[in-house]
Amino acid sequence: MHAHTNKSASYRGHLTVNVASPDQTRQDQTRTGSQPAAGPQARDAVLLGIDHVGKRFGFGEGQITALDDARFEISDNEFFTLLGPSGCGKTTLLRIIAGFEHPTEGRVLLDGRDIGHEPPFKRPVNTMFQSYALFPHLNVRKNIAYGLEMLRWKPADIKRRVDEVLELVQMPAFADRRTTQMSGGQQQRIALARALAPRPRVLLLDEPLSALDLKLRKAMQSELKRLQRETSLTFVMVTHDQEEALALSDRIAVMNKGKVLQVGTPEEIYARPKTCFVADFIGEANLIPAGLVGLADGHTISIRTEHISVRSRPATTRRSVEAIVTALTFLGADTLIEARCAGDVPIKARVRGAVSGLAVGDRADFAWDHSSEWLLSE
Amino acid sequence: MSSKPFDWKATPGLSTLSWVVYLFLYAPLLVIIIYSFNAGRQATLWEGFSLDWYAKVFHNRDIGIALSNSLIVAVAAMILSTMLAVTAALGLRHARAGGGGQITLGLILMPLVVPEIVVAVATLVFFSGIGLKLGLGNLIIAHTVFCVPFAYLPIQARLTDMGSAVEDAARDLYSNEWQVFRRVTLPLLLPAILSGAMLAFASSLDDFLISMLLADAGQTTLPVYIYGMLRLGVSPEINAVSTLLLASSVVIVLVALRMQGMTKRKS
Ligand SMILES: Nc1ncnc2c1ncn2[C@@H]1O[C@H](COP(=O)(O)OP(=O)(O)O)[C@@H](O)[C@H]1O
Ligand SMILES: [Mg+2]
Repeated sequence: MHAHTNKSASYRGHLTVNVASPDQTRQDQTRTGSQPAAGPQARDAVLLGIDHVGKRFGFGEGQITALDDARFEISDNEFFTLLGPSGCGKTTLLRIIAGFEHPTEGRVLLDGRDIGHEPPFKRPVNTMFQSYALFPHLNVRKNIAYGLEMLRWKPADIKRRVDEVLELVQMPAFADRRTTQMSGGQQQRIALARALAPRPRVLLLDEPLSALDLKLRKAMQSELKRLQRETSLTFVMVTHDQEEALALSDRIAVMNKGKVLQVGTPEEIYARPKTCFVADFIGEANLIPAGLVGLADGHTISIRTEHISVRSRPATTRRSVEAIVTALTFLGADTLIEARCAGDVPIKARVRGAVSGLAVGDRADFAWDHSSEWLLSE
Repeated sequence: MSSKPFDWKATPGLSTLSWVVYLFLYAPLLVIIIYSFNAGRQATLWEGFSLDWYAKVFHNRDIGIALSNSLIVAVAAMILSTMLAVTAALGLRHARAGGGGQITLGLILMPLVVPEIVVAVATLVFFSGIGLKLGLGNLIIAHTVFCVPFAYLPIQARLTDMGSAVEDAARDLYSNEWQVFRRVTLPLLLPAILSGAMLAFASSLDDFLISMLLADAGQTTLPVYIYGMLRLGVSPEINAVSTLLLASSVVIVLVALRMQGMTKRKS
């Protein structure tokens, strides 16, 4: 168990060498941080390859491109997340991996073999559905045993395995309950147990936490992470919640409008977004035209709101822009200061505690260290 | 200007109106039921409680034949129409609006809107035109056709309710299409299938017009027989038969509703 923890911690630092990235070199020069070199021994074997996968629904005029040339690789034992706004094609990609949809282009490689056109029941891949999709006519034990029975496990083995996964999801007392009498959180654990039971090569989770209330969601987050470590399975999760993705994942693929925009560790995605969309979608970032701070025109820089200080005297080592405060929002631990600088460009800063001596309409200097700004390539 | 939202229940006279409707609907039924237990012959004069008329009904050979005809036709039509309905519901499940499936659906549900007398006459003309003489078989075919929508609707409602996620889950858990159907779709659909079958059975049992036009001598069904008895004057025997028919219909529909209730609770 410990070994897995270490392993997943170690490859958090890996670069996303799988993704074709023309500007990788430039980024590495600008700010490489403390990333270890991606040695071959540190990297787990590629388990799942998404190879130029595209998916179109419909024909002619009404055709929808749900997925466009997606490509990345997922390693054995990885917690991988597909992150993006609603309608960006996350579920479609997950359903293609599960086998419910077949790609119109490209290949889905599992252990190097193209499974893109195999039916779901032939794939060693299990899904935890967004709606849980438990069988209402079967009790908990029968639900979990279902896949094992289909795989023709011996009854004694099935019983042992069901007890084992019930233990794993901390629901051992529920074996003989009807699933229809359980709360959403409990049903979810059973759905998870059912998907884990056949020991799939890949476990797919579609928005697993979105239906839960905030408190339960936080609890289930650490639960999922624990389960992934204990089972040393590969998890592929879909979410639109960037906080959840950052908290859980070894690596994240950020998607928008059917395209995979960036694949990387949470740290990479957060600190070095490649596009405006990624910068904006992950955390709160300011997108400022580079020309405004005396850099090359036509580029955009991103600065996280928490890296900006307001009203401190402009220093030569720091960048700054002057802006007019448009709103002050006290958020408890922080205050969010919104303002507009030259050319009506919005800028936001998140400062610790309450702010005194600053009001809406005031002029203020918004400043940050060179090291916290990030030049976007697109 | 009233700030209160519009409330149907506050309509003046609504409750009186409801009672009038109830009266006209149920008073005749009540009268028939009560007088089926009357000791005397008079249709409107209560002469004490007796089960004589029921005894007479059970000893009437013709009623026995009519009842057995009714049951044979109803059971056969129920089985055939339910099988058609299940197949149609599964087949039309993913029919898109405006597609061919939508038209098929319209054809299936047609008997609900086409006037029954038209169907009855058309079927009669058609059967004699092609010279179809299958005895009760003619009746069974005609009943099957108009029973399909009754069987279809609950099944279709259940399928929509159920969604495809549970079946996807079964596919995901290593079931091929046949196993998905046998182990998930069919068990989940079963209460709706039974409920649809009951409704089909009840509507076949109650049918008068189509049976009246299509039944030859010796194929008289119970409703047609009752109508025949009426022409000889209202006898309390009719009250007893009608009460029996009413009771069986009510029981069947109650069972069907309970089945549907079971499917609701399951999902
Ligand atoms: N079966 C389908 N038929 C037609 N369009 C679909 C189908 N499934 C998904 N889409 C479309 O594909 C796009 C991506 O959908 P989806 O993968 O569900 O997004 P997400 O899960 O990221 O919210 C959407 O525009 C959606 O309308
Ligand atoms: Mg989705």
